Amino acid sequence: MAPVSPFSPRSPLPQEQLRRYLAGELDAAAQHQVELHLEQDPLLREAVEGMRLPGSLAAMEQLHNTPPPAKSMSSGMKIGVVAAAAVIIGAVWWYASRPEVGVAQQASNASTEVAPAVSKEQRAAFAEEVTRAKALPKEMRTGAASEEPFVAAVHAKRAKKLDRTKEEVVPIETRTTPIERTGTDDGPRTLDRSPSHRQLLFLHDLKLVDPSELYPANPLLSVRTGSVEARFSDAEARANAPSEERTIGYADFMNEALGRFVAGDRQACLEQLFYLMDQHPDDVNALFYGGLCAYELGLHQRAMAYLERANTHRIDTFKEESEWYHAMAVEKAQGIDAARPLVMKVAQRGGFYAIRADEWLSAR
Amino acid sequence: MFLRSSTPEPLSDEDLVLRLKTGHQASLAALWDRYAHLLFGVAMKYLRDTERAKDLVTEVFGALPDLLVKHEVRTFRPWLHTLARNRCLMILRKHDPNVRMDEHVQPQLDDTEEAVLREADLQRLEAALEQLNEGQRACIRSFYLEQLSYERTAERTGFSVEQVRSHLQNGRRNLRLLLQRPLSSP
Repeated sequence: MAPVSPFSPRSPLPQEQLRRYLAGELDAAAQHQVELHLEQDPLLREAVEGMRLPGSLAAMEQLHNTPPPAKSMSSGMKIGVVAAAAVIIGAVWWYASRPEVGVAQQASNASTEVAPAVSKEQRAAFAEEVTRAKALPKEMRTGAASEEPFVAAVHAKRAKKLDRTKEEVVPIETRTTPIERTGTDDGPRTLDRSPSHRQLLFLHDLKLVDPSELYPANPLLSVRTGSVEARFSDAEARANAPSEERTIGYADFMNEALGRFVAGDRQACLEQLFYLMDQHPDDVNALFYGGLCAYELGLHQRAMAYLERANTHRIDTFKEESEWYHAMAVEKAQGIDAARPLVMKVAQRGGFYAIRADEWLSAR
Repeated sequence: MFLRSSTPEPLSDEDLVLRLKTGHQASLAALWDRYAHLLFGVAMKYLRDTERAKDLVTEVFGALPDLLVKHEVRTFRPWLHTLARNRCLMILRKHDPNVRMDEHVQPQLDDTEEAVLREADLQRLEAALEQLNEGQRACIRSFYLEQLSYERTAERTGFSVEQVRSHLQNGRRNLRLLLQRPLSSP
């Protein structure tokens, strides 16, 4: 590797790092790295001058959450768009005013109802199950060690695809956003945004759907303290004990849980996510990472259940990953023949896991 | 893929511009993510009003597809910088006709200066540093070689942060000139 020059920044400057620099949240070494960028970039230098003015950071945050403008329209096009909108609105009003629509809407609502929260018996069963779990061998686990060999192949495939100028470019969902803590919890809301504009949050370099996509206000979650776990000799006693609880914001909760995930403690992570699902059964982040943990702990039935729900969730951020790991859990629980059609579907989809799916099919 | 470290390398600005020119609207969103906050900062510097600054950013990006078709843009970043600055100056000229437009596209440091500094070996760098004046030498050493921040460099040298930045700019330029001289030159 070429030596790093003291005159060059080590890496590109993320927007969040710039925000923290302006807010005075960086240590001296990190400040220096930002200032290396300032020294070599006239645009950044001038922008920072403006960003230091009062009200700038808050306005920048609003801008960050605003989608880019559509192409400017001619007045003729504008008249056409307004006319088309009027026709569509009229058609929707006519359709909604039909008496049978109300019934259909109720049926639709029933099919998207959230799964009921777990009972005390289910909690005890879960605790028992996790205690007796037999983890998968290391080479079969999820995460960087197993994913990285496939990354280069995927990059090469995508680079080849991007050479064709008319090819559609897959949007990169890497935008992060700070969490607003409002302290109320009214449950999940129905969303109508397309997957390409889903706001994401990354904790420990793991992808999460931003809670603003799942909840109308950032929920406060109850967390059992570790001291409860240590006091009891068995799973049943622990499940029946009154919990000593504290509440924390969603991001902090997930930060703890995923910290355990990346540290390799799948059991602790699963326990924490199970606790989240107890409070919010339809949380897609908990369903996905809970599914991964269950898979690695050899709890294949549970993994199948969680990953199937993550795969078919109304927020499809984890669809690709869930589909693959659900297929792997099916293989473990029900055998190769049961998993084969699911793996074929992954291969045909052509996403990140298609290469692995092809290899799986070739080997069996 | 749920790991952030495994996401593909982002496209360059120039690749995105090419795609935008062919009507690929998602490229505009990618450029927005990269540049909207920077243009906002530039607009704030000149207009001193958050709403006017946000409007300017929206206006620039709304016009971007058409402008990129009309203009030959070799390096997008400095071009966009000049475009945004000129739009700000046009707004200011409405109130003060003496405001002058800026047609000059400022090159990035990387083109020459940084490349020369980056590639200089330590011995030649030290020799060149000794030929700078005291202020420039002290600031270059503290900021670049000891990797101190502006503030720490200012504390150590006794200069203000503005003076530190001025010494760094002038010191870099002089270093480049010294390093580009043939070895046999005095």
